[in-house]
This record gives sequence, structure tokens and C-alpha cells, in this order.
Amino acid sequence: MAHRDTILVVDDHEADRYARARTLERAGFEVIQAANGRDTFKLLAQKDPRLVILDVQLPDMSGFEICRRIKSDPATSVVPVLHMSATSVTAPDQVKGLEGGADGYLVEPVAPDVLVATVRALLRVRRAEDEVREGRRALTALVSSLPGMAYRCARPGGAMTFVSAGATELTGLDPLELMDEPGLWRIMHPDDTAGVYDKAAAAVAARQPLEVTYRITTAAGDEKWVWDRSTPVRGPGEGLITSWEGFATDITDRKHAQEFLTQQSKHLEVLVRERTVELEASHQRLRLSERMAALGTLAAGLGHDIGNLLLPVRVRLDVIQREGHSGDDVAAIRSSIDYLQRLVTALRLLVVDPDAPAARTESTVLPAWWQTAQPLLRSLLPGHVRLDHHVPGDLPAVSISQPALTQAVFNLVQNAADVLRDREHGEVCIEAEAEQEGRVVRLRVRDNGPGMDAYVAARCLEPFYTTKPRQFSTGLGLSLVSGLVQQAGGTIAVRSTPGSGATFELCLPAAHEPSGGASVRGGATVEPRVAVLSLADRRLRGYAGRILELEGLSVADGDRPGDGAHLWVVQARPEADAGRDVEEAARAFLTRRPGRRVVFLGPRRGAWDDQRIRAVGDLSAGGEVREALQSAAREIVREGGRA
Amino acid sequence: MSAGGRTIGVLSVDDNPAIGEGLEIAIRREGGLRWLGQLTDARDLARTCLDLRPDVVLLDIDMPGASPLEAAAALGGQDVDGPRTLAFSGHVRRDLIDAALAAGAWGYISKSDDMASVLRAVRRVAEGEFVLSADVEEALRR
Repeated sequence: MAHRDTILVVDDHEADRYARARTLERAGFEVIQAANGRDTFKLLAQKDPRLVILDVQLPDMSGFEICRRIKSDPATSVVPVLHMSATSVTAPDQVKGLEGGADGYLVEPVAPDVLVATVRALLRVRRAEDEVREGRRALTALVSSLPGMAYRCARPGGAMTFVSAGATELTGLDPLELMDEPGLWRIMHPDDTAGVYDKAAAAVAARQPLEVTYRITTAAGDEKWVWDRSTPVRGPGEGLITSWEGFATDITDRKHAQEFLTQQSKHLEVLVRERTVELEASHQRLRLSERMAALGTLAAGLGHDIGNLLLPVRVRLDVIQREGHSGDDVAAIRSSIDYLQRLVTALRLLVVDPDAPAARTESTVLPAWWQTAQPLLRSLLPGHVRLDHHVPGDLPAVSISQPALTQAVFNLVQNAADVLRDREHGEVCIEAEAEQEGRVVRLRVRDNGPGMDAYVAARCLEPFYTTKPRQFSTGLGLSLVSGLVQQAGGTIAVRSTPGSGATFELCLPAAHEPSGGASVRGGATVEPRVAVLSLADRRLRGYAGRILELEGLSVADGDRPGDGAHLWVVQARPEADAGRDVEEAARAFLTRRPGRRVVFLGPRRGAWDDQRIRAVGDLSAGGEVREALQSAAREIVREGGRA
Repeated sequence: MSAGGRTIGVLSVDDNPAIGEGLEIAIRREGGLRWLGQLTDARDLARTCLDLRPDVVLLDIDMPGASPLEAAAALGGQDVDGPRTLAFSGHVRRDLIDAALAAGAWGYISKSDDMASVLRAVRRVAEGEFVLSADVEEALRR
């Protein structure tokens, strides 16, 4: 059954009331009736009628008074009131009723059709009003629960004519404060206002909504980022803009997250760039070292083969020399042998094995070296080229042999001579300085020649790389320098820019004091440590003896070590009855005096653990014999040095 | 061995004929030394030693074919009075030196030594001395 609207009919005249009720019921309405004011209010409260038809003359109060009370009570103010009267029918009566709040005024007699049509019209209005009210209520509820501020204003950012409750949370201001000029402008960041204006102009021109982000300073003094979207409201006929309606919300967190992300991504970009550069550089190094390794292998192979081929030549020349020739022949032969020997020496540099650097026992005192090397180096340079030097007298000795250093600097100066030959004011400077508290000496050979570009500078140390015509250059000169420096445990660097000369910088470790042995330290002679060898095997005896001598020990043979001995090297023979005696003798030897060591070679019988004992059971295993002897000897020398 | 006025028989094991050529010229001119020839593969070393009875074998430790060091190690057990091997190499590397000495070599000398030193080393090994050349000692001292 369809919903029927309830109409309250109020009239003290029963017949009239009945007639109206009948008419309305026939038209489909539900009708309730009251005969006086008291019942009217009771039914209004109980039945909530959609409309009241109200007689003007009632026994307890006037219809006008009832209407005024209905309209002034919020609970009933929405209910339309239609006055009907057969007695109060003058124009002033009607005006009074309508001004008093009534929604209609009909004067009897009223045709039933007219009554029904009038009621329907009033109910339509009521429905429309209800809808509007509901719409407004819903909107208000919606807007006030939004996380931000809904508003209307005359122009973007200006004074508000409406602000939702969210304004306080967003700005910290009372909504009323935003309703005074200059509205939002007072809290907007000054750097952002121009942008908002420009964007508003653009939005108007494009007939698009305005969307902006800006900063505000809240009442508490915090800066917030705000996202704001608004639409212009135009007057009738798409005319002038009368106001802007929009919504603004806090995006500070998002903005901060965005900034953080931007920063992170910038940071990442920088990292990636740095790593790319590093990677490129390490690729470069790898390429270079691969090329160097390949060239080194080639050079080593060549050096090896040439050395083998030179051997018979050397032998023949020796033979010829001994056969005894005269005069010029002797000189020529001697000179040939001499050259050959130099060639052999040069070849040995090619066969540098970087995995097994030669001992760096030789050292050179630079000022003394300079005295002997200077005339040679001077003779390399054309007369007009100056040779300067700065070699302080107090430099520490460097761990490279004097001939090797001379050869290295010789090659560098020779290169300088080549590039300075045609220069008017040629200059070569050799300077040395100590660094890292005297642990390292830097030796520079600098010229003011035409210099090298980066490509040449990067490659010039490679074997066989040359910028000179092949008939003058093998491209091995600088590679030899590099090899010599590396063998000495040093490094070499090239610095050059085209037009401003070249500097070769040799970084050489300072020489260490020789360790152990009967060496002179501060004028005092240290007694050598004594090793006693009880080795029946002559080969083993020879080998062990030589290894220990190289470590600076003095070596003697004997069955048992004497009191003066520091090290006993004994060949254990467990099959012999004396095997046990050997172990006991070793124990006694170690306990009689501190700082002693024993090295057993061959299988033992009664082995016991002691850090002072080294034992090599299998003599055919790699370098174990050597390592055992060397470590024992070095410990003895070290402890002797401390005592 | 040279005791009793006997000459010292020298056998070379080397894949490079130039080495043999050089050694032969030098040894033929030296009193007290006898050139026995050169093997270019270590495979035949043991048998050749039985035939020729060399006092000293100059052994190139790095050559193609059979391992010279294994062949040398095999000689050690044959006979107390058997040949003494002397490593003769172009490579001065500690690992190779260690390997040669572990294989029973009586010394290790470098091919860049002059011929007089080589022959001196051969004589000393024949006398029962143990020999290292200077650059070998330098490498071992490191």
C-alpha cells in the first residue's frame, strides 16, 4: 500500500471538519482531526502530520496564534499551515494570517477540487523544502568530516564567505578570522602568492578548476603545505565570476615524503654517478693491467729465449778471448763481451716476475749517488739544456741498488734530452724529498718539454709503447724504468699536460736496516748467532747451511750442539737406537738456555709439542725445509736483537 | 767424480740446443770435465744415466715433455754414487727453487750466470758441495 500523507484538519465546527476530511480522504490522504488548539499540538507531536489545515476561529485560542507557535517551534516549523475560514474573510485577515507564517489562506466556500489542489501544491513545496534541507544537512555533515577545509570566497585566497569546520584544524584560526580580509592571504607564504594568482588567471582563461599547492603558517607558527582545488561560480548566464568554491587540505606529510624521496633519488643519482666513474676507472686499470700482463708475458718469453740464444755466443767469445789475440782484437773482444753482458743484464729486467720480487737488500744514499751520476746524466743532455737538482744531504737511503737507480734516471733524462733537443730554453730538474716521516723518498725528474696528452701519459710506461720512430726506439725504456722501480718495491707516476712539460715521479721506500748477522749497527758489532748442524746427508747439510748463512747465522757441524749454540738442526733417524737420545738431547738443549730453537729434519720418534721446535718429516715437500730453517733463524735473530 | 784424477762427466737436459752447444764448447776447453751430451726430453734421463754414468746432470727444470723434476727425483734413489743434479734455469723464482731442491737437486744456478761460474758450480757439486748462484740466494733471502 502506497504511503499516504497525513493531513491534520483543525475546526471546532464538526460538520465543516467532516466535510473537509471526506474530501481529502477521497483524494487519497490520511486525515486526523482536532477541534481545538490543545488537541492540535498533541496530534502534531504524536502523528507528525505533513500539513495542517487550520480554522481561524477556535474555542480555546485563535488559529493565528496556533500558526505562530507551530512556525516558531523548530520541531514543527517545517509543517505547512493552510488557513481556512468562513468568518475571517477580509483582506486584512488574510494578510495577517499569511504574515503570521501561514503558507496559504482559503476563504469559504472552497470547492473540494480547489482544496485538494491547494493541499497538493503545498505538499509539493514541503517535499522540495525537505529535500533541500536534507541535502544541506548531508552536505554539512560531509563537509565537516572532510580532512580539510571546504570554503567559498570572493576570489582565490581572499576572505571567505563560508568555511567548514575543518578550517580550524588546517590553519589553527577561528573560521571567523578567515571570513575577514585578507582571508587566507594573511597566512600564505609570501613566495607562493604570486604563483596562486597566476594559476587562478590561467584557470579562469582555460575555464578549468584551479589546483594549487602553497605553504601556510598556522596560528601555532608551523609551516604546512596545502593542496587547494577550487572552481569559480559564475553569475547567471555564465557571466561574471561571483565566487570561488573549493577545498584545501594538508599535504605536508606527502610533501615531506616527496622531498625526502627527491633527495634520496638525487643522492642515489650522485652515488650512481660516482660508482660509474669508479667503475670506468677500474675498467681502465683492468684493461691496462691486462695489456701489461700480456706484454709482460711476451717480454718475459722473449727475454728468456734471447738469453738462451746468447749463451753460446758468450761462450764462444770467452773462448776467443782466452785463445790470446793481440792489440785491437783484444779490445774489440773485451768490448763485445762487455756489451753482451749489458744485454744480458737488460734482458733480466724484462724477465721481471712481479710475483717474486727480488730481495731489496741493496740501498743507495742519494747525495752520494748524485755525485757519481751527475756527470753521466749531464753528458746525455745537449749543451744548451740546463740540469738542475735538489737533493738534500739528509735524505734517508732508498732501497734500490745504485746501478738500478742510475739506469732508471738515465732513461728518464735520455727521454728528456730527446724532447728538449730543439728547444731554446731546455731545462731538466731532478729533485728528491723525504715523505711519510722518512719512510718514503720521492724522486722527480721534470722537464719543460712539450709534454704529453693524457693518452700518451697513460700508456707511456707500457712495454713497446713509443712515440718515436721505431728505428730509434724499442718502446722499452720507460717500461724498464717502471720494472726497476717496482722491483725495488716502489711506484712510478707520470704527470704531464701538453705544452707544460712532463714529470716522472719515483716513489721509493727508504732502506731498512739489515736484519741479523754480524752487521754493524751504530758502530757496535753484534755477535752472530750460531747454528749447529747434525746432518749426515751432505746435500741436506749444504742446503741447510747455506739457507742459515743467508739469514746471518754462523754455521758449524757437530753431533750435539755446544753451549754457545742457538739453533740445532738435526736429522732425525728413528730407526737408529739413538733416536730417543736425540729427542732427549733436544729437550735438554732447549731448557738449558732461553731463545733456542731446534729443527728436526726427517721422521721423528718421540714427538712432543713445543713452539721452539720445527719438524719437517717429508724432505721432498716443496719449500718446507727452507721455511722451517728460515723461521727458526729469524726468530733467533729477532730475539737476539732484543736481548 | 774427480777423485782419483777421473774427469767429471757432464750431461745436460735442456730442450734448447743452443744451451748444449754453448756448454759443449766451454766444457771441451776445460780440463777435468767431460762433455757427455744433451737430452732434449727428460723422459730418457734414467736410462741415459745408466749408460753414460754422468757425475753431474745440468737440468733445465722448465721444459716441455716429461717433468724434469720428477725424472731427477727418480734418479736419487737409484744409486748412492749416482749422478748429482744441478738445476740450471732461466727462471729465478722461489717456488721453482724450492721444487728443485725438494726433488733432490744439489744446487740451483741461473742461466744468466757467466759460463765460468757455471763450470765452477759443476765442479763444486761434483766435489759434494751444495751450490746456489747469487741471484738465487737473493730470491731465497726475501
